[in-house]
Amino acid sequence: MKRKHKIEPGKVLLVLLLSLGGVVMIFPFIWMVLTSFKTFAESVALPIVWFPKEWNFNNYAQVLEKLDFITYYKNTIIYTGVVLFGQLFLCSLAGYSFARLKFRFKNLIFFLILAVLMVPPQMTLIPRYQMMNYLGWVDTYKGLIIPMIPSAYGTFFLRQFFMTLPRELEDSAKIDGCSYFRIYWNIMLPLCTSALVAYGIITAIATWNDLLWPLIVTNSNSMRVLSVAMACLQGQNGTKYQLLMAASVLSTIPTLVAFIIGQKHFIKGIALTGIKG
Amino acid sequence: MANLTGKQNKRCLQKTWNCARYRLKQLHDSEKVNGYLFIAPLTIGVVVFSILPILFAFAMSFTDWNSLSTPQITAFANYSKLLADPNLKIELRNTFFYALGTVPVTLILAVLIANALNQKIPCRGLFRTIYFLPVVTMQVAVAMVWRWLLNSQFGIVNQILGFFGIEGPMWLGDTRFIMFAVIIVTVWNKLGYNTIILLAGLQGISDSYYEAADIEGASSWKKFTKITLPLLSPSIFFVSITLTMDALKAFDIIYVFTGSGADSSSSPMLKAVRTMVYGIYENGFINMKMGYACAEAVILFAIIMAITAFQFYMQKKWVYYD
Repeated sequence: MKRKHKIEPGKVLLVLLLSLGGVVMIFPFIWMVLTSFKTFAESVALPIVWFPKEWNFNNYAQVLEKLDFITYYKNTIIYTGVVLFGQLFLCSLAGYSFARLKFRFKNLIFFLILAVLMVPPQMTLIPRYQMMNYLGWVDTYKGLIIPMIPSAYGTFFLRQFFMTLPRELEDSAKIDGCSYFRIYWNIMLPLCTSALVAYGIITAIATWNDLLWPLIVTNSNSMRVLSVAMACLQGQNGTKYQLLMAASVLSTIPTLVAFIIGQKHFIKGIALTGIKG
Repeated sequence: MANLTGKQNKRCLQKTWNCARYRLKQLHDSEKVNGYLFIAPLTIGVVVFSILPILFAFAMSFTDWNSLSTPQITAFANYSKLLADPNLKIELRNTFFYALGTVPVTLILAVLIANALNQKIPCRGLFRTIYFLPVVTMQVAVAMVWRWLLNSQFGIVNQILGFFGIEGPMWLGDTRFIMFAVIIVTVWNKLGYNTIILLAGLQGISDSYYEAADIEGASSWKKFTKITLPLLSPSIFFVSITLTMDALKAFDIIYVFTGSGADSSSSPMLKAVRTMVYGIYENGFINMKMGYACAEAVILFAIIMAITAFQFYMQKKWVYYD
């Protein structure tokens, strides 16, 4: 603590290494943005043309003209929002129960849920679609959203975090006569804010970019989400990379903003509660 | 109860009511009942939308289902054919090679980077955002850029290697190197995601441990190995399990790097990287042999199940739960 204002050689090295790695990580993103401003000839030229000769928004104008972005944004926001909050609630509730409560067959049920993650998704696609067809949920929000909410992955993720929290707080709440739901809602959830934020960010982005399920379960233009629209654009203009990249930038911006806001909330949850470890 | 007087009747009712209320209160406080109630909505959802379809696919693995005609039961014909299939051997070898090449490297790098991004360093938020960018970037863009980066003549990777006097290989056009290219891109792609998970795990570690260690004058290395690693172990466990499962189920990147299904199954490039899920995809969706594909999926499932069970068994030795 004393050396706070001195430059530490260890930290300088760390920042240097992180910057070096950062260049590798940021590169495709920069490339995506640069290409979205290029002309077709520039986008496929070899040797590589790094910067477009003229910076203009032609590609963006074309994409916006071709695609009904407002509908797609609306559908994607509904899809992502409901799946996100549905998952956060169901998975954290079950995750808390799996981590802390005692009941028979708990580990068996947990491993059964985990087993779902071991099956390649390609396998369950057709039976699941047939189920939606049987229920009459094809091309509806219900069919798009509801099967995506019960997540085995999210339950496993949040269970691992509940396992790490100290038991003392819970025990004292139990002595005070708190119900289990109150313990979960008022004590456990606030303690794992950073886990919920992290899971929220990755789920929101995974759902936002999810292609397979929306592609299969929706078919009308008014039900389409961004990822499907992108895939269709790719199908029609397979090699017009500059258009694809412009559309990619447009659909990536909301997730990027969400991440930048979200990562500020990586605050120390436990340190604030004042419990000794 | 006709012979009871009105007063007796009322008392009896009161008693039953009290009894019922007492039982209800007991149920409300019971750990068991709450446990089941809390997992019920999720479990029902998982059973309906995931386990039922899986059971259906499992049943279909014993038939000649081709997704069009009515399936006929063929018992173990699919399985015996699979065991004799030379592609399965190649796919098994490639799948394990890929998993061994990606999982440990991603895990170690993610732990190190998460720790670095948790330090008090300048521009921390910016660094976190940069390391997370691969997750946000569209997969189409990712695949395209890497094809350029790994281009044998103009690609940056080979230009950098050339700078050190090494002649870079044709990454995507040489059967000996395409798997390494796939592994490099996978590590790059998975890193940001898992770093964020571990970063959240680090946030859960109370400062008081480090303060106590500071008072005792512990070195940074001691703090890392004696505090950070044990307390982070539940998150590391999660990351290693999900990374392994994902690696054994690898498909997308192989599909993109081998020409998005355009390569014929006899192409040597495809042979060098085809994984089990690629085989499942090819059998089920290109050759329309769904029953056969289901049988291969069942075999893959058994493998992943065995490895995961082993990891769960081993966790007692190294994962620390409070």
